[in-house]
Amino acid sequence: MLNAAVNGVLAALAAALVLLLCYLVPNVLIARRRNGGGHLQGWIFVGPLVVIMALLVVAPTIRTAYLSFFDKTGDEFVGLSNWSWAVTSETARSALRNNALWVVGVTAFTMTIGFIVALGSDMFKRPSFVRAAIFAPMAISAVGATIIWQLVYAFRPAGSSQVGLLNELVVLAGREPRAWLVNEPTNTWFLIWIMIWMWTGFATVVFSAALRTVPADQIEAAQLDGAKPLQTLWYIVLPAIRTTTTVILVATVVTVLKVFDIVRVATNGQFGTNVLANEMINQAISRRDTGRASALAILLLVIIVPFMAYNAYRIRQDRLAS
Amino acid sequence: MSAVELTPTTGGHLVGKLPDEEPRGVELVESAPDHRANVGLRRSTTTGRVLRVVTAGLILLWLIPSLGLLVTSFRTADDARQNGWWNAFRDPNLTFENYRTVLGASGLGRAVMNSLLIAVPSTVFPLMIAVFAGYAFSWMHFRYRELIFATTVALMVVPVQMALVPLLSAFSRGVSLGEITVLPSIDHPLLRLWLVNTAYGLPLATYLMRNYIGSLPAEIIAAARVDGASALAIFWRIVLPLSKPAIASFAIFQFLFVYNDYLVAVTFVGLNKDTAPVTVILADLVGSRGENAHLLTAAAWVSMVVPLAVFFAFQRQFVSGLTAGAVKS
Repeated sequence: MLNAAVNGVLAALAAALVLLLCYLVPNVLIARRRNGGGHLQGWIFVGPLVVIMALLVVAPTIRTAYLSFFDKTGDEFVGLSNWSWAVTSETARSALRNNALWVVGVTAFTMTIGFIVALGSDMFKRPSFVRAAIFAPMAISAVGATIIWQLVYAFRPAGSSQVGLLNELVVLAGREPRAWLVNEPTNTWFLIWIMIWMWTGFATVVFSAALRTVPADQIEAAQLDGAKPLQTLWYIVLPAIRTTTTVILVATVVTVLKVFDIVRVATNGQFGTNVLANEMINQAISRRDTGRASALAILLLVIIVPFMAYNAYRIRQDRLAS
Repeated sequence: MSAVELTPTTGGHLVGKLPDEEPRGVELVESAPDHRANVGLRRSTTTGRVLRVVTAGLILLWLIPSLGLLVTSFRTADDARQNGWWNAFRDPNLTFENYRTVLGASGLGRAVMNSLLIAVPSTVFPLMIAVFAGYAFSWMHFRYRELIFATTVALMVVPVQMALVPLLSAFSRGVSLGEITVLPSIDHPLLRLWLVNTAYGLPLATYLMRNYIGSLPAEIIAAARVDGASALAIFWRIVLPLSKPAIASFAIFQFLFVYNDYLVAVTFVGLNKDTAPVTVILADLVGSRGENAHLLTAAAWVSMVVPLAVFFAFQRQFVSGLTAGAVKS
């Protein structure tokens, strides 16, 4: 194992050196020119960025779009048949429906709970500790989070003692234990909760920062006018943080649309829990159908772009208004 | 209107502003963490009290499952199979055996090393590239400068799924036009992961660096130029040291993101025990050892140790990276 570690570190150092030379060598070469290089230097400094983005992001994206019109192996042109599959087949449709559920569920809950905790944390002696408790799950992997909650959802048949906290509570309440991750259609919601658990910290922290920018004079004026706390919240605070709310919303939606790890690890899309990103991988790797996989990937991109565009639009509006 | 700010320059809050704005310094949003927001809520009001109770309940809801994980990881196999972890408080029968097994036989110790070998370069490389580029975008002049920057940031939209199929094929077979090999195949698993993670971390990194470096006081740079310093010298001696907060923010964010990544790792490297990172091994354990909760939970904790430690040590930088890059994911 030490051998592998050393090899890995050496490879990293070698790569770093190569990268550094990509900047230093051309720089030295053009420094000898009469005018010291001028605008060529700018190109040297952004050169590696442009090359990497072109080769690893732009080119593959174009290629994926291209492949979506071809068959499984990418050899035969099949026109729109992958696309028709992507929007009409039951597999793809059920995945899309689930993605919609995920978007609504995760966004609604994380933003609501996040906002409540952002407000509520200030009611404690150590607000940052409170926020840290909600925020810590962001540090762990989705795989780890799934394991944590699979333990909570664990199922043993009625009569035996339960090992999962949820079923234990259910049994204590006098009901029958259930296999929460198997029973459709509620199982998707139990998976959605895992992401809510992980992602609420983001909303909490960003809301918390935004709340500090609400103009104090407006708050005081409202209080002088006799406004109750909830009224102040509704009429003054919420409008003041509208741009932040949009940003959180869009970031959450875009993240949720790409959900993969949780579904893959918990159920691999079975029992009706499949989502777009998981099906894309299934098509690409298990079924080796590059055409369909590419169509799904482009579909994902097409769904994401409007949200990002809206975000940019909102921020520009906000900037123009202020 | 003021926000909690840290570094040179302009006030106001930076939460998800996009590149067409004037560059602003990346500001830490919690440099006074216990400073409370003023939104007309006080602890003593009814609303305040309700809020407190609700929040306390939420905290419990958030923390208890992790407690369950921790306790289960110290239980014996029989105990874990027969009853719930809460029984361990009545009848503790605790052992370190699970951890020993998981670190040794299941290869998790090695996986942690692999995760680090993947995550650290995947953090350093985009930083290197982004800092050079950020400096160029802010303080150098060349044609298409704004266009290239706008394009780079716009590419934040592209999810890594877009590249999976073509890159997989390109890495295994190389890229050739007819007889000519344009790009050779790349077998080295680490190199594959470094390339992909770097490329998909670059848009955010470039955005953060350009904004930050662009907000450095122009006088310092101008003075250095008057003194005859070359661009490289200015970069090395002035820009880099001053950019530490932004570098730290992105570094923490990217490190955690890559360390916890599963999709890219499993796609480009697969399940080779020698090279697989922690997330891949862990996911595999779920599939094959689902019934062995005592081992799975120990493995999960081992996988969480590094990220949690990094997170708690650098919480502020992480938060600042998140709020400044709220459009990423």
